[in-house]
Amino acid sequence: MKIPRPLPLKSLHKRVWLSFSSLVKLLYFKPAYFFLAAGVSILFYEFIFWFLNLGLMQYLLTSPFLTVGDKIQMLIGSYSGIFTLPLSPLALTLFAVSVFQGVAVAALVYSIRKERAMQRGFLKEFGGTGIAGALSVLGLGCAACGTSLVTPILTFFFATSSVAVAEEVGLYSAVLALIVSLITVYLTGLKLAPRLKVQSS
Amino acid sequence: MVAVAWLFFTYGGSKQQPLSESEQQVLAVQDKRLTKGDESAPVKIVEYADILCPYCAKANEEIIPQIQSNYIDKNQAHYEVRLVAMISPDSQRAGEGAYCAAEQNKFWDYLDTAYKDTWDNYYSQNKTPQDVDLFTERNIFSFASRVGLDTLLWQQCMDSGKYEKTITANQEKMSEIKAYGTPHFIINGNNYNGAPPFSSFKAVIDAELNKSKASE
Repeated sequence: MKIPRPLPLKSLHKRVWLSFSSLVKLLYFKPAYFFLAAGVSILFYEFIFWFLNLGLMQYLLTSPFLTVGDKIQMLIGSYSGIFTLPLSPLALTLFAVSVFQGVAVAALVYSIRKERAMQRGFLKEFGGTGIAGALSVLGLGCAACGTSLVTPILTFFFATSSVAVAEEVGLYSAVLALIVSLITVYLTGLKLAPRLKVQSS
Repeated sequence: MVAVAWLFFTYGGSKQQPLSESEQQVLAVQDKRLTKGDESAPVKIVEYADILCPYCAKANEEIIPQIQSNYIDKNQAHYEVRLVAMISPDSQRAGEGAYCAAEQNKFWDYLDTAYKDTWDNYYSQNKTPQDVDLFTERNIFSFASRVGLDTLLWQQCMDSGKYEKTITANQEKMSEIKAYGTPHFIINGNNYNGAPPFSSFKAVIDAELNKSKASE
């Protein structure tokens, strides 16, 4: 089924509002999708946060020498760096991207369940979540210190002097991730509008 | 998503194995002057650091003091720093300066002052290592004097270049253990890249302490 375009392209602000209202309606009136969004968001954030130390994370989560409480505390602790001063633009961006990813996936799951079949249109949004994830991973870590994926990529293709620009590349990729995830959330919200019977004001 | 998570925890990642001979060598104390805590403590923490690395400064300001009060001071962990020079041309000079300070038993004064200055005046204000001018050829002498070193002896040590090879050897060891950058922590053989929050450190150290208790 082709999703009808609810409003002409010119009225972008109305479409953004329509998308936003649809998403709020979905998450507020269908708590299961709210919890799905929260779960995906947490998984996404933890995956990106631990990306450079996945082996260690696996060891800790499966270790018989830590209680379940210790493991949960460890995962919650990874959020502690976001809002401590000085605020890190990279950490805040990563947090925002993970929230948008959670909302987008919950909206997609709702749409797919309602349509009962995967459509080409949905694949675009799934692609969007993948691109945002990859860009977030690139922005992770301290590029100047070498604990970032950007640094080895740049030095492999260019020269060691390119490390000087790695910090900027990392930040730009995080901003790009934010833009891609915002567009993904916007599109998924827009697709929900007819299904949830949300009208443009 | 559940399937991916199951696959990851069943087959993925790098499973932790008993320490190999080379890993044991990495954990063996290299320079006592650059250590804190009881050498016989059950948990050994080794940190590869660059004095000009922003995240090393962040770790020293926010995480290491908590590790010190919770584990090192209670003889549960032993901590050793090994300096490398990867960030900027001044890193080498700053690192050699720290080793020369160790000859006067002032390694920790030098390191703590360096990290505090770089964190407070540069990195906490989102400045980069290129902005730091504390360790330029012109300024490092006044930094050493501020730390309270005998600057004549310290300068002689610097001129001899005797610690150049130590820093190079540390970097070679980092490549051997496939460490990407600084800070790089090794906690009883578990590698940790970057400067994680204290809760992550706590989980690793507690797991190692519980493991050690279980094997007694």
